[in-house]
Amino acid sequence: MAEVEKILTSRIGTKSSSDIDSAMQNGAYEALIKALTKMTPEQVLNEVKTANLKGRGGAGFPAGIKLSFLPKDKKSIKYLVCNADESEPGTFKDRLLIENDPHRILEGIIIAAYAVNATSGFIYIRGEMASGAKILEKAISQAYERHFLGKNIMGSGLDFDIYLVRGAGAYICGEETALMNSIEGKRGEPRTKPPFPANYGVYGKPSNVNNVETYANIPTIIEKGGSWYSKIGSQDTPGTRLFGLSGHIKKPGIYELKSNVTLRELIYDFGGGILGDKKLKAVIPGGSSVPVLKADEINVTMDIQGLKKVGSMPGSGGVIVLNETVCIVKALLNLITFYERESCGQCTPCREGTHFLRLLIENIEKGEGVEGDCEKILSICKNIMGRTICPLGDAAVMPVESFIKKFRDEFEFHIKEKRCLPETFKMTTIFSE
Amino acid sequence: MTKSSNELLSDREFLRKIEKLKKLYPEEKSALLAMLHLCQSEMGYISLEIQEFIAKELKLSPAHIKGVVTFYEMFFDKPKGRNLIQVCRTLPCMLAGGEILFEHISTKLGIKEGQTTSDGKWTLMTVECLACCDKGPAIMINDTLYTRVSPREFDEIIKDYR
Ligand SMILES: Cc1cc2nc3c(=O)[nH]c(=O)nc-3n(C[C@H](O)[C@H](O)[C@H](O)COP(=O)(O)O)c2cc1C
Ligand code: FES
Repeated sequence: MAEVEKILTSRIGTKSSSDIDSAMQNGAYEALIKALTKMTPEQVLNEVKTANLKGRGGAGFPAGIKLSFLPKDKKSIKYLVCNADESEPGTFKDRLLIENDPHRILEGIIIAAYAVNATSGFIYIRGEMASGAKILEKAISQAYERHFLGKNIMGSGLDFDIYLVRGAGAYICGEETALMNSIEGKRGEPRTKPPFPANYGVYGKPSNVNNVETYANIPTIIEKGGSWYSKIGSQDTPGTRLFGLSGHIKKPGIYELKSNVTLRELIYDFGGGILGDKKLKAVIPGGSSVPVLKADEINVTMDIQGLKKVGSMPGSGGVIVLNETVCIVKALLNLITFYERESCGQCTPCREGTHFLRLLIENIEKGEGVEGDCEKILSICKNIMGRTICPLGDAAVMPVESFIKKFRDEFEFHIKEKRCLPETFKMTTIFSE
Repeated sequence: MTKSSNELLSDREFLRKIEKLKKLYPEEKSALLAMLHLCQSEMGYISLEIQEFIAKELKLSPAHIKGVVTFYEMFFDKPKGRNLIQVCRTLPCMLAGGEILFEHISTKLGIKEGQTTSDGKWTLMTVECLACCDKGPAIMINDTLYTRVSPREFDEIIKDYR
C-alpha cells in the first residue's frame, strides 16, 4: 500500500480549521511570509515550475508554466482566477478544502499573485455551494484583517485583492473562458481560443485560471521547496492528490494519496472493496468525462502514464465505482443526459450531438433500439470530437465511446433481447442491506 | 421570501444592498449574478420589472439580463413554490439510490419533476452532481444541502418547512 503523506489535508480535522487563528497555529501563511520576506517573485515562480505541479482541475497542465505565460512587467493589469466551480460528476474534493481549509487556498493564490505581480484575484464558486461561499467570505475578510490581503501586503509592496463571485448553476461555467464570461456578468458561454486567457482573460486583461486544489499545493511547495515536491510519488504528477471515491464502494470519501497509488489499491485497500460484496464491473477513474475502465484494467497507477496504458486519464481525481448489478446502458444514459442538459448550446455538434446521443441511448435502454444503433452512436461521436469551441463536446464523447467499445455486448444484448442483463435487474444501493 | 416587484422596489434595505453590490467588484457588471441571487432570494423568482430595474442599475439592456436569467439554472423568471427541492440525479447519487429517493419524494408530495404542489409549498426538480457524491443520495432544499437522505429521513426533514 502506498505510504500516506498529508499535504492538502494536514489541517483538516483540527479544531475550527477554517478559522484563521487555528489555521495559523498549524502553519497557515508561513509560506506566504517566507515568500514575501525571503524570496523574489522570480524565485517563487521558479519553485512552482521546479515542483512540476500539475493542474488538478482536469486537464493536468503544468501550473508553473501556465503562470509564466502572463506578461512579466509590473505595470500591466493581471488577474488570477481560482476555479471553485466543482461540477464534474464524481468530483467533490474542492468542497472539502473550501469548507475546511479556505486559508490554504487563499495563501496559495496570494503567493501566486506575488510571483506574477497580479493586480487582483477572483474565486468563482458554484452557486449551489452556499455555505462554502460564506466560509470563503469570512476567510477573505479575516485575511484582510491580518493584512495578508489589501495594499502593501506585510510591507512587501504587493497590492492584492480577492473577489468572490458566486455562480448560479451551470456546469459549463467550470470551463475557464465560460467562467470568465460569467465573472463579467454574462451568460456562461465559452470563448474561442486563441486568444488564450494569459493574453485576453477577465475584462479582456491577461488572466490565469487554476483549480482550487492546484492553488492549495503552492504553500507547501514554497515551504519545502519545488525539488522536494517534485520527488513525491509519481514523476508525471508529483505531490499528493485528493482522490474521491463514490458509487459502489464500501468506504466512499476523499483520500489524499500519491498518484503512484494503483486503482486497485484505491478501491480495495483504501475504499474497503465493492459495496454489496459484488463483483466490480466498471470504474470511471477521473470524473465522468474520462473513458471508463473494465474490472481487469485496475492494476495501473493513478497518474498520467498509468491511466494512459488503459486508455484513460486522471482528470479531476473523482473515481466512480460500478458493481455488477449496474446496467451499463442505464449508467451511460444517466451521463449523456447530464451533458445534453449542460451543453451551453453555442456549437451545433455539441448541442444537437448530445441530444441525438441521448435519444439513441434512451431508445436502447427502453428496448426500442435497432441493429446499427451502436455504429450510429459512434459516428455521431466522431462528428462531435474536436469540432466545438470548448471541450464539453469531447467530454461527452469520451464516456459514450468508451462505454460502447468496452461493453458492446451489453448494448447489443439490449438491442436484440429488448431487456437488461439478468444480473442488473436489481441494482445495489445504500438502501440494499 | 416572496415579495412582489413593487414591494421590493420600495424596500430601502434592498436598494441599499443593490448600491453596495455595485461597488463590490472592479467593474460594476460583475455584480450582476450577485444582484440576481439577491432578487431571487427576496422574491422567489426574478420578474420582468425587476430585470428592467437591474438593467438600468448596471446600464445593461433588459435583453442581456433576461439572457443571463434564463441561462443559469438557479434563476427563475416565473414564480415557483415557496420551497424548492432539488434531487441530485447524476450517476454517483443514482448508484447510491437516488432514484428510490426521488420516487418516494414524488409520491409523497404528489408531484412530478418540474411541478409545484397545489398549496404552493413545494416545487420538485432534479439537479446535476452537487459535489458531495460520497454522501449520496443528496438533495437541496432551498439553500440547504442534505446528504445520505433515506426516504424516512426525507419525511423528517420536510417537517421543518412551512
Ligand atoms: C465543461 C468543462 C467543465 C470544467 N469544470 C471545471 C471545474 O468545475 N473545476 C475546475 O477546476 N476546472 C474545470 N474545467 C477545467 C478548466 O477549464 C481549466 O482547465 C482549469 O480550471 C484549469 O486549472 P488547473 O490547470 O489548475 O487544472 C472544466 C473544463 C470543461 C471543458
Ligand atoms: S452525483 Fe450527486 S452529488 Fe455528485
